[in-house]
Amino acid sequence: MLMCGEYMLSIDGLGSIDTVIKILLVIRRSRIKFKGMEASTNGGVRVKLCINGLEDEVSWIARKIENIANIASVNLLKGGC
Amino acid sequence: MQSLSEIPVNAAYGLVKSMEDCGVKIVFGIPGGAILPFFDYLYDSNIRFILVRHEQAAAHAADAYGRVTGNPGVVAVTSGPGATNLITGLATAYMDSSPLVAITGQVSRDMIGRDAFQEADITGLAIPVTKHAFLAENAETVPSIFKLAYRLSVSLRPGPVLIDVPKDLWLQPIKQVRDLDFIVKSLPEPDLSLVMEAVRILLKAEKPVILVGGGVAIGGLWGDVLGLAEALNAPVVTTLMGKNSVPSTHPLVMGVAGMHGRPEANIALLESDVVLVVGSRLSDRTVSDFTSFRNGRKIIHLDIDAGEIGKNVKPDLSIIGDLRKSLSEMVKLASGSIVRRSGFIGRLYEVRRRFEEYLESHSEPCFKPWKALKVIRQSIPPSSIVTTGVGQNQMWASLHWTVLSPRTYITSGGLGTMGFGLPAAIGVKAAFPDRVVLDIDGDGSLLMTCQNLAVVSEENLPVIVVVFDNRALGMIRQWQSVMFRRRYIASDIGSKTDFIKLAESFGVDGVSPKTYGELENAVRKYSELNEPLLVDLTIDADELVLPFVPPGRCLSDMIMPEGVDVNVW
Repeated sequence: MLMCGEYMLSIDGLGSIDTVIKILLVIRRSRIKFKGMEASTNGGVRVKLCINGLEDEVSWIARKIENIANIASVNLLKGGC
Repeated sequence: MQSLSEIPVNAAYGLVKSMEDCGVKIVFGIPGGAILPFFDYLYDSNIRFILVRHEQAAAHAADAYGRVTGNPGVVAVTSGPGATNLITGLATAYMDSSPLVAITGQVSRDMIGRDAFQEADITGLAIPVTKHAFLAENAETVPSIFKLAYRLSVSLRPGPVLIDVPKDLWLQPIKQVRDLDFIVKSLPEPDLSLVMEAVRILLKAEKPVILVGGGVAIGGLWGDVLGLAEALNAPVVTTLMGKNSVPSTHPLVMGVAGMHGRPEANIALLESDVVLVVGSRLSDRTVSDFTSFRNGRKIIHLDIDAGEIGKNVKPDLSIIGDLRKSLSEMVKLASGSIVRRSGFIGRLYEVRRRFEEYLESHSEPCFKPWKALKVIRQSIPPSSIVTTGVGQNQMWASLHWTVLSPRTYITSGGLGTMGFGLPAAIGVKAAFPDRVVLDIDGDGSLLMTCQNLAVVSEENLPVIVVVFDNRALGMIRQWQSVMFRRRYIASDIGSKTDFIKLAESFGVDGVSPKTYGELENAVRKYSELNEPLLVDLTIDADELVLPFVPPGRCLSDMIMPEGVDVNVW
């Protein structure tokens, strides 16, 4: 279904700032609009991304990020930013 | 944690020990200041080091080594330009899912970020083109990082991994080896209810086609795929990478589909009502226009990488996980069903017959690429492994080379890296010294990495290089011919390069045959002698690669050679 909207990606994993960069590198070459983010690397990596785009594209982005080494989980929420 | 007796004395020793523990036999690369302590410990090891003549070649050689052995090829180079020169090779391996571990020296930790001599942020540069890039932060983790990288590069979808080691760590004594906290993911189990649904759709289909990608070669799944094709009596077409996955001689294999696909393969896709995609990322070069490919047919996509599902073409049904389990279950479910599709397959054979009849009737006295490839195929043993350059040579090989067994056809399919063929052949020969290794190359492509002919002779890695020499960047010239009204600019590369003298200057014999007989004799002789050879094969610069689907157009817009009618309905 071609539904455009705002989504929150909540990502947990291991590593350092490089893990955050890897997530951003996926985002920057996708067809979604980056709205904002929060990131912390305190004992693990936690990133919250606010993005806007088509549901199919956002779901694909979530799967791409889940594939990154050291990513433990990705949760996709409609709205929530 | 290791016992006291196993504790390495320092990071350099520990890294070499880890390589030995992993079974590494060969390392490709070039030394330099920031990695010299590692080389000093390599001196005492049984691991063979192959000194290449540019770091890009080290990456390609290791990449090809990984593709044919299934074990990661290993590269070691220095910091700065040594490391940045790897990037094209890493990107090539990444695009084609090839296992590789690259070790780079780095400036000392206190100099990182200070623009030191030969400093480059190689982990930053490599992140987009590797599965992971490690910067070692302390000596105690260096041995375990290598073992982790080695495992990571072959796990799930293979790919390159980079380890950057600052110079000051190499000789630091290690009291205790420490493991790194890291998440290594496991292969998901396929959903069997989806597998059953896929088989139901395929059995109900009138013209199902199986599209095979490079994942089938990587996973060793050709038996399962062909078993399913036989159970369904469905034609198999491949991507460029998938050409390495199934034998071209199987009666259901129609060849490579796509921009320069075989007519019977493209027509199979165009006529299909269901396409089962196995281990392919459905690139633009295979399906051309994504939207038109999707229209009017059901797509079932099997892959181990969830990130490939829906990236280019949204499937009707997708099965993520262990492909072997999915395929073997599908074979079981489909076996015994009565399917008759001989009309569809018969028509595809007729298209093939008409195309080959055209080729046979246009065999002028000068070398025709398709015929030269047939002659070369007959001149070398069935077990031979072929690599290719990139350009027209690669596409002629894609159309006309007969793959007798999987994992014997190594090409840069994703990145399309000119200069890949020769260093890749070197990597394959290092892995299998007793097999004939032949590089099908172009003059423009070979000239990008030709200095590695020195490696062929100095390291005793006797490969045969056949240069399809049209004195042009042939594919660029073809596009200018077809799409830019023959306004040739920067595509003719001149006639002054003497490939025979070039080869001889590196200690490699060169021949320039005038007939197919001379070509056959030369290739046969040097392959039997296991001696290196460069064959300079003159090709007409106006020779096009056909069929051709112009970029962005649909497969139905395929341009055929004049006079070939593939409308057999």
